[in-house]
Amino acid sequence: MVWQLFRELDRLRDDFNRRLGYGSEWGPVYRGEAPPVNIFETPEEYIVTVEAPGADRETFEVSFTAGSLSVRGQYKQPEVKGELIRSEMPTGSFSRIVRLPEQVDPNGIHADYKDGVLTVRAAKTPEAKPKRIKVKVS
Amino acid sequence: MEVPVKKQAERGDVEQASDRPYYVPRVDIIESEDGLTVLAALPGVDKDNVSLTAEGGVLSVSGRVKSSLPENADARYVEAEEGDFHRSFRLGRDVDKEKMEASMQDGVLKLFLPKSQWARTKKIEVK
Repeated sequence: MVWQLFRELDRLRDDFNRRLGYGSEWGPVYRGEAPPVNIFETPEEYIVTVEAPGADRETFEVSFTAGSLSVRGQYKQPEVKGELIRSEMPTGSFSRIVRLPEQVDPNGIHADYKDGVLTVRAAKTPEAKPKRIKVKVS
Repeated sequence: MEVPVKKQAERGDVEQASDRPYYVPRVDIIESEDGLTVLAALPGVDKDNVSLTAEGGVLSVSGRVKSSLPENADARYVEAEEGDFHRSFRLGRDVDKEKMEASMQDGVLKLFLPKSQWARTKKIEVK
């Protein structure tokens, strides 16, 4: 499966990063534009989590079109004044698109942002018609 | 709204990850005239799951990312695993660790370590 290939690539990349001294033993690597995503499934819904610590809530755009969930946003501007001695935190804008395996009910999608993680829950239904909708983030 | 974080962890509060895989959180370190600010990216972590210790000239930030998902959720694709995080910093004499302030918001831990008096630049007027 393609997902397993991505995990192998992630392991290779983390291996490189470690050898270069980037210091991530196994955890998420911020590519700046692509925050880490997890996909979970329960019998009733899909749950997609996007790690975006320090994001600006006002900038979230979550939408669902023809089976693909799109998450976009921007990180808050740094507010601390001074000399930047080390800069590793993600900045700027981020964007991920996740294809959900089965049909979901466009009216059954909810998103919330807590502790820096955007969680989108999408209720499953076989009869869902493809439709573009805007999802409000609470 | 910023929330205060407890400064010193009681030993045994949070498991120290020494022989288990842990991840090293990303940080920004900013130096200003009055002190050092450390921002750490800790998504999925709230203030109760972070422990800060400052002893022997070393500042340590550690804790555990816990899943807040329902029991019956099966992982289908995972890029960010739950687990422990840990990062240490050497502290020089120029910061006053006793006066460290910590707060947490939206998965970002913010630490401020004020510079001790002798480390601040004192402008001397030439008469």
